[in-house]
Amino acid sequence: MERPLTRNIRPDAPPLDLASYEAEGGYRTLRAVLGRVAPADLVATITESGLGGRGGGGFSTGRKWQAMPTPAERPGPRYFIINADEMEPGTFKDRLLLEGDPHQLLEGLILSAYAVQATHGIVFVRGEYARAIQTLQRAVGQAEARGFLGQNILGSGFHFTADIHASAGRYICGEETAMLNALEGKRAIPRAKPPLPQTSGFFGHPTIINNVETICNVPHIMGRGVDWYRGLGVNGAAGTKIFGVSGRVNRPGAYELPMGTPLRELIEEYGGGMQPGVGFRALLPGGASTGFMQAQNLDVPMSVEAFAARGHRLGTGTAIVLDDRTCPVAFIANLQKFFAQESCGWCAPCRDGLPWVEQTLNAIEAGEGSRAELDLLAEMTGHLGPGRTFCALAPGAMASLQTGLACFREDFERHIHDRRCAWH
Amino acid sequence: MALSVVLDGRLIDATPDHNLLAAGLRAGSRIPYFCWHPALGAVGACRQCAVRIFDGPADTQGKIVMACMTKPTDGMRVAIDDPEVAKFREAVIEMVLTNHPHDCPVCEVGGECHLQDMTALTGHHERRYHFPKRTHLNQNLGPFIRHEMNRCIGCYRCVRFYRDYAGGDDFGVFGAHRNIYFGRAEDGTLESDFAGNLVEICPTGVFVDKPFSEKFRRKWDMRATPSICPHCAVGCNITVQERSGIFRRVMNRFNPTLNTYFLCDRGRFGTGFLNGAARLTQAQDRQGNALSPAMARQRLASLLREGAVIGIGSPRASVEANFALRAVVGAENFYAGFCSFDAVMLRTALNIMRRIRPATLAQIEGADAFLLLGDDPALVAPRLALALRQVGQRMTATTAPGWLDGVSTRVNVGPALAFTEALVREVTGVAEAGYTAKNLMAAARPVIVAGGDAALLVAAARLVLALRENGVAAQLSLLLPEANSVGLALLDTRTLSDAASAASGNHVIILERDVLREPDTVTRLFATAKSVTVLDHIHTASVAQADLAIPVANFAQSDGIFVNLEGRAQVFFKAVFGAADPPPGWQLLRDAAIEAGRLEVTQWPAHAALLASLAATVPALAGCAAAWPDRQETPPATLPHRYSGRAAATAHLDVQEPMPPVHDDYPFGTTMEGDKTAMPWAPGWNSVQITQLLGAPAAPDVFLFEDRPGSIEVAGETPPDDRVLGVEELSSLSPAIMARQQTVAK
Repeated sequence: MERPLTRNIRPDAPPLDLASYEAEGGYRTLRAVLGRVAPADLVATITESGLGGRGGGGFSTGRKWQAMPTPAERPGPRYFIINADEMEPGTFKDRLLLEGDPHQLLEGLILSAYAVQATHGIVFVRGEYARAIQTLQRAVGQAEARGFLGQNILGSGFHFTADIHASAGRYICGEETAMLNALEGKRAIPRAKPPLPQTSGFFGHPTIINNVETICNVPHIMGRGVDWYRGLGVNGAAGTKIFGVSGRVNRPGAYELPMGTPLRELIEEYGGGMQPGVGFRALLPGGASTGFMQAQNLDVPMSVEAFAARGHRLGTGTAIVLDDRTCPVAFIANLQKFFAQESCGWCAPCRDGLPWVEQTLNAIEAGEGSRAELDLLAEMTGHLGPGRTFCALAPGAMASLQTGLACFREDFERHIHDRRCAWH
Repeated sequence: MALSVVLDGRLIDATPDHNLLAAGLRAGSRIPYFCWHPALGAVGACRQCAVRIFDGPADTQGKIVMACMTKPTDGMRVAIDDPEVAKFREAVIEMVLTNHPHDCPVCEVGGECHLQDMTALTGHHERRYHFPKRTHLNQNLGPFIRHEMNRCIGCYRCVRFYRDYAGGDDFGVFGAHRNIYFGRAEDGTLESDFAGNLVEICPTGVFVDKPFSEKFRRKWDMRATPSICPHCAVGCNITVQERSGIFRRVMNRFNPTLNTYFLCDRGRFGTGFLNGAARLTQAQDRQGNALSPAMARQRLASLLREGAVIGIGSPRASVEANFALRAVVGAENFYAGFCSFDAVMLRTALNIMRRIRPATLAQIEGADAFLLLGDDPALVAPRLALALRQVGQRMTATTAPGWLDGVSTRVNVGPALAFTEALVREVTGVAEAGYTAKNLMAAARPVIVAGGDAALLVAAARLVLALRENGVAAQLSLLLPEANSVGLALLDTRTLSDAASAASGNHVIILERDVLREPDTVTRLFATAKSVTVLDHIHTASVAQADLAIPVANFAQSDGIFVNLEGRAQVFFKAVFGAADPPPGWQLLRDAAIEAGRLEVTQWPAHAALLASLAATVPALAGCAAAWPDRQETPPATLPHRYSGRAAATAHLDVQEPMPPVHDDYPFGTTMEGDKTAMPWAPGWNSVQITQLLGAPAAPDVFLFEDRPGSIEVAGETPPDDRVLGVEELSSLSPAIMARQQTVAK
C-alpha cells in the first residue's frame, strides 16, 4: 500500500531537513512544474484528481481554486493561506504532517500558489503547536535560502513569499473567514458569505484557504499524475487520507489509508479493536462536529460521498470512540462545554444557546434533569442547526447532540428517572 | 427598480437597495430584529429576523433565512407568519434573555425598550432557563452614560456605532462566547463627542442617559414636544421631554435630510441649562432688587416712551424675538451686534448663500468626496462632521489637522486661503491640477466645507462655482457660529461696536445674550448708554450690569424659529410648561410697546400674525411663515396616551387634578386628547426604534436660499480672526487682552 503523505515521516526521528527531503525526491515536482506547466493546467489537474478539502468540508479543491478571479481580472496581491489551526477535538492528523514533513507542505504550498498565481503565503498554525511552528519556521528559512521562496523562484519568473503565523488561540480561527479577521488583527469572528475569500479575502484581496493535509497531496498529484492518484483510493474514492482513532481502542493513532477504506477496518484492524473488557458503544467519525455512528453502521467506506449518501459526515476522518464504561451524557456534555466555550460570541443562538445546552446536559448528568429538558435539548438541535446560526460552529456542536439523543435515549431517560448517573 | 415581492400574501414595495427586513418594516410588517439599524446596516448577528422565503410559485418548501441578510428578488414570496420560523424567532429571544435580568420595573428603559417590544412581538412569555446568569461589573463611563452591562443582549450595535460610524477608539468589545463585554479597557469617561447616541442605539438598557436618571420619569409620563437643538448652527431636530414643568431629557428626532438618527453630546446633554441654577427667573434692577413681571414690563414700556432706543439682537434668540425687537425700536436702531469678525463673515456668507444654496446634511453624507477648508467641523458643527465621516469614497483633503484626518486621504497643513485660491486656479485651468483639484474634478458629488474668515468663504464659493462650470455637481457648506446666526443676519449684520457707538446717551435693549463675552469690547456701552435693559433667560455678566433685567422664555418655554447653516427655517415648540413661565421675548416686547404706544393694540395677536408681518417686512425671511404648521382640528397630543399619576403627583397640595396648561398658539394639544401623539410611538413600538417607521415630520422643511446667478464678493474689510484672543471669558479679563481688543475695535 502506498502512503505518499507519510512516507517521509518516522515517529522516532526528527523531520527531514531540506537536503534529505530533496534526496528523497522532494522539490523535484517544483522544479518540473514552475515555469514549465501553465498554472491553468495545474488547476485542471487538481480538479480532475478529485482532491477534496481535508479539513472536514470535503469540497473540491480544484473548484475552490477556479472561483478565484485571474490576475488579469483582479490585479494586485493574491494570498494563499494554509489552515493549520487544528483545534477539532480528537483530531491530530495535521500535526503529524506539520511536525513530520514540513517541506512536503511547503512544496505543496508553493505549487498551489503557482497554480493560482498567489503572491504571498501564510501558514496559520494553532498556537499550541509550538513544535510545528518551530519546524515550519526552520523549513521556510531553508527554502528561502535555497531559492524556493522569494523572487523569481528557480528562474521561473514566479515570485512567492511565505510566513508562519502562530494563532493567538480560538477554535473559531479554523473557520476560514474568522481566520482572515484574525490575520488582519480584528476580532476572530466569521464574515458573512458572499463574498467568498476567493474574491474578497485577506484585506479584501483574492485569497485561497486550504487545509494542511489537502495541500500535502498537491506535490504528489502534480508529480505523479491524476491516474496514479485516483488509483490510490478504494471503493470509488480517490487518493489516500490520514485517518485517526482515539478512545479505548488497543492502538489509537493516525493512519494513512486509502480513501474509501471501510470505517470498521480502521477501528478493528488498524485501531486494534476495543481494549480488553471494554465494549464499543458508538463513535464520532470525524471530530467533535460530526454525529454518532453505532456498531451496525460501521461498514461504510470512508469517503465524503459514501458518508453523505448515508446521512453522515466524514469530517476530519479522525474517529473518537465512545466505550461502555463512559457515560454518554457526560461525554456529550463535555463536547458541548468545548463548543460553548469556543463560540466567538457573534451570533445570539450560538453564544447564548450553547451554554444553556451545556448547563442542561450537566444537570441531567448530575441527576437534576427533567423530561421537559430532554425536549428542550431536542428543540435546541433545531434552533442551532444549519442556516440558523451565523456559521457552522453551532450546527457542528448539534451533530453529536442530535444523534446522541437518538442513540442514547435510554441513558438520558435513566439519568432523569434515577436522578443519578449510573456510571458514577 | 421596483421588485414584486409578496410578504405574507401582500404585495410590498421593495428595491434591491433595501434588504428584506428594511423593506418589510417599511411596508408596516412586524419582523423582530436587534442588530440591524438603518444607519448601521445588516450584519446578521442576532438571528432574530428569520423569515421563510420561496423562490417563485413552484417553490413550496422554501427556506429559512435572515431577512436582513437577504436581498429581495423579483417574484420572491416571504412568510413571516410560518410556524417553524415563528418558533425559531421566539427561541432566539428566549436564548438572549437567559442572561438578561428581570429588572424591567427598575430599569429606566422599561416601557420604551426594543427588547421588550420584540419579546412581546415574538410571543415569548415563559422562561425555561433556570441556571445562574452570567454577570458583569459595570464601568464608570463618565457623566453622560451609565453602564448596565448585565442587560446586554450582544447585538453589537454600540460598538458598530461608536467605532465604525463615529470613529471612536476608546470603547470596544472584549471577551468571547457568552462572556462578551462592551465597554472600555478601563473605567473612564467616553471620549467620543457622540457617545450619547449609545442611549438610543442600544436596544435595551445597557447605556442609560445619566443626567436623565437624576430626574427620571417613564416615557409615557412625560410630555414630548418637537424642538430644535439650540447649541449650534446645524439645528438638529430633537424631542424635548418634560414633566411637572421640569425639563427631563432631549432625544433625537428623526429628520431624514438633517440629523437622521444621531445627535452630538453637546446637543443631548447641553440642554441641562434649562434646569440649571443660572436661570434668570425674576426681573431685577441694577441693585439686584426683584421686580414683579408687571412692574418690569412697565419700566420697559416707560423707557420705550422716551424716544430713541437701541436694540441689540441675538443669534441664540428666535427669529421672532429678534424681529419684534427690530420692529419695536425701528430697523435703523436695531443692531445684530455681531463681533466685527462675524459681521463681515456672515454678511459674506449670506452673499454666497443667495448665490449657492447650502448643502443639506443629507447631501453632505451622500457626497463622494469632501474638502475641508479652515475650521474643524467637529468643533464647530459636530453633527455635520459625523455626516462627513460617512462620505463614501473619501478622496479628501483638509487644510488643517482635525477630527476627520483619519478618514482623509490627504491633510495639507497650511494657510487655507492660499490653498483654496490655488485650487480655483487649478480647476479653472490657469494652473496645472494637483492631487486635490484632480480628485475634486473626478468626483461626481464633492462637497466643500469651509469655516473661517470672509475671504476663505468667498474662495471656497468660487471653487464650487469653478467646479460646477466644469460639470462637477459640487456642493458648498459654510460653517457658521450659532443656532440662529443666519436668521439674525438676514435682519441685520451690524456690529456690536456700531451698536455701542449708537448707544451713547440712549436707552439700550439687549436681547438674550451676554455682550460682555463678545470679543469686541462693549464696556463703553454700559458706561455711555442712558440705560441698559437685558432680556434673557440666564444670569450673565450683562444681566448683572444691566439697569433692568427681565426674564424671557428660553427655547423650551416658547415657540419660535431658528434658521440653520443650511438656510433651513425650523420651528421649535413650547415644550416645558411651568407654573410661572416668563413670556417669549417677542410677546414681552409687544406688550411693552403697546403699553408705550409704539405698537397698535391689535399688533401680533398670535404667532402666525407676527410671521405674516415678518414676511411683509423682511422678504428674505418670508419662508418662516411657511415653516409654521397650521393647527389641525384635532391637534396631535403632546401627552402620551398613558400619561399617569396626574392627580396623585400633586395630591398633597390639592386633591383635584390640576388644569391642563393652555397654549392655543401652537399646532399641538397640551393634553392626552388627540388622534396622534407627538411622542414617537406606535402600537407595539414603544422604543425609539420607531423612528424609521414614522411618517411626516412635525413641521415642513423650508429652505430660504436657492441657487441663483450673480457674483460673490467679500462684504467689507475682513478683520483679523479674533476668536482666539477674546472669546473666552477668563482671558478677556486680562489687561493685555483687553488692550488688544481696544485696538481691534478701532
